[in-house]
Amino acid sequence: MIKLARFGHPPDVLALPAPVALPADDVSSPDRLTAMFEEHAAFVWRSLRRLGVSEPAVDDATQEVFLVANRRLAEIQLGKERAYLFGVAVRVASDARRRAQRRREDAGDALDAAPDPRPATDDLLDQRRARAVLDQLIAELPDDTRPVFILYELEGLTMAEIAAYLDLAPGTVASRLRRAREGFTQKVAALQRRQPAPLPPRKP
Amino acid sequence: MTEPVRLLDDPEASSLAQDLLRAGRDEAPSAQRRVAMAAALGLISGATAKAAGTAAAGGLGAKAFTAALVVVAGLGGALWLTTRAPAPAAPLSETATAADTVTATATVAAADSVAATATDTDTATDTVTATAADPATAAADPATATATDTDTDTAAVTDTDAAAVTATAPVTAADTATAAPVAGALAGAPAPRQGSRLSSARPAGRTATANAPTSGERDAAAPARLAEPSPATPSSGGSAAVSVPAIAGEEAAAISALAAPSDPWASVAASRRLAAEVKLLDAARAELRAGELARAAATLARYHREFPGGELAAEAEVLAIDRLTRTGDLAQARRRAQTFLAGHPRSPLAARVRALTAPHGAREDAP
Repeated sequence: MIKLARFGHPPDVLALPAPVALPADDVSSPDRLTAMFEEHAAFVWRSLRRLGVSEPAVDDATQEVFLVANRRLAEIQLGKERAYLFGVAVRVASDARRRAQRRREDAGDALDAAPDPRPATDDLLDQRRARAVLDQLIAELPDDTRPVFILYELEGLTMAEIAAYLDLAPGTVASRLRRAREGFTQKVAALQRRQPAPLPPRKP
Repeated sequence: MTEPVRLLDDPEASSLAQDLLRAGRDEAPSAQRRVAMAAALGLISGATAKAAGTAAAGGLGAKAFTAALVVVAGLGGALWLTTRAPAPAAPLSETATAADTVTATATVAAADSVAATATDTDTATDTVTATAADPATAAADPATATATDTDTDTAAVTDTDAAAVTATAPVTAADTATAAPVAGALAGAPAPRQGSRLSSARPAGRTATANAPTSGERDAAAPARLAEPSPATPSSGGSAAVSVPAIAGEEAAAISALAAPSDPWASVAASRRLAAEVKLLDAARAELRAGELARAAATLARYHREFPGGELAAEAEVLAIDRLTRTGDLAQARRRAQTFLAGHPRSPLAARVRALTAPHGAREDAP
């Protein structure tokens, strides 16, 4: 505990300097793209994955999103960068899925020989397999509900934020979210019926 | 518009659904992939990208040296430089220069203290001992939590750079303290609105470490690359560093000719991000203590949103378990505790998790 006292509780750790906004005339600055990448690359990357872009293709897709953003940098409103990037990601993911679909059709069923994406539920602690199952379930949701579901359940946005992100009426967001949640919950339940998930044993 | 309870926060939701969603929520690109993407976009140089790629894996080796240097420098930026430095003497001075310059831009006030805290090997080790004996205190002190978490929770590192960690088990205090901020920054989750400040700090850092002539070239080169739109052929992640066009090649040669190429962005961002993580979790902890369970849930959700795969994810999970016990949902709390203990059996936080979900609900820090 003496060491702890020496360690102390440095108050300045908690006092971040106030955020500095980009100057308004800086919207086309290359630094802005860098800043956007720093802040949002992981978000874009993850969104693309959940929107159905395969693991090997997701880096390229992420770059594609930022290249589009770079071309349109001046048009992206300050503070709306994340929303803009998500919108591009939805389109890029849709294209990527179509391309993948075409490739699968061209190649017959050969590419579908991947292992069952719905593994036994007791393996689900394995994050990779869990993600594969999650993505499969999300992919089965209706197209228009998918982005709403991802932004609400995984990214934690509010419904009002989602309405602004996707340029939708609040009621539309609500109904899409409801449909997506119902669909998702039913699919998970079906999965559990197929192979009941053993809950970890409780410790007394 | 009434917001339904998010499935991840909903005690009624099936545990399978929550496990699946959590896995998806916590996914983030690895350090190497993020750097490769940035390089392909021309946001950083190919040389930096390559160096960073190896830094995440190779930096683990130089732990003692790095830790000593960093205590001197007192800045996360130093960390990243020195992990890849070939000889002790030269990088020391460069480190000091970089630290001075960046600090002079007043962008890293918080980063200083975190870096110094997390990388003092002695202190970290001692703290772990203390923490194991007194889990409640560990959680009560955010600075301590930072050190112990980076120290023993290898999950954060594994998530961003599995290869690096698995190659060098067992991971020691200095190892993780070194690797986590670097890998975290590159792979890492966005630190809200830090970008603009960091960008403005970067040229200063470059000048200090890369010497004046090349920094001029680099800054001139960056917009030029960005101006060339080649959107139809985004290069693949694996070969991204190589496929950046000619300017980057020249630049890469120029940079690699220097002893210690650096990107203060990465390290400063890492330290600041860690400070921001600590701040959020501290807020969540305070809300828990105050019995504001809904606000604590919102704060924890915000933590995961802003720092997916964050370095303090384990600490966040402990707080989530704590929250569940306070809501009375012991079943869910125990289930999450089991999962946590399976994943972090030797974490100092494990003792706290066991205490939280103990049959009598014994809790030292109850309000």
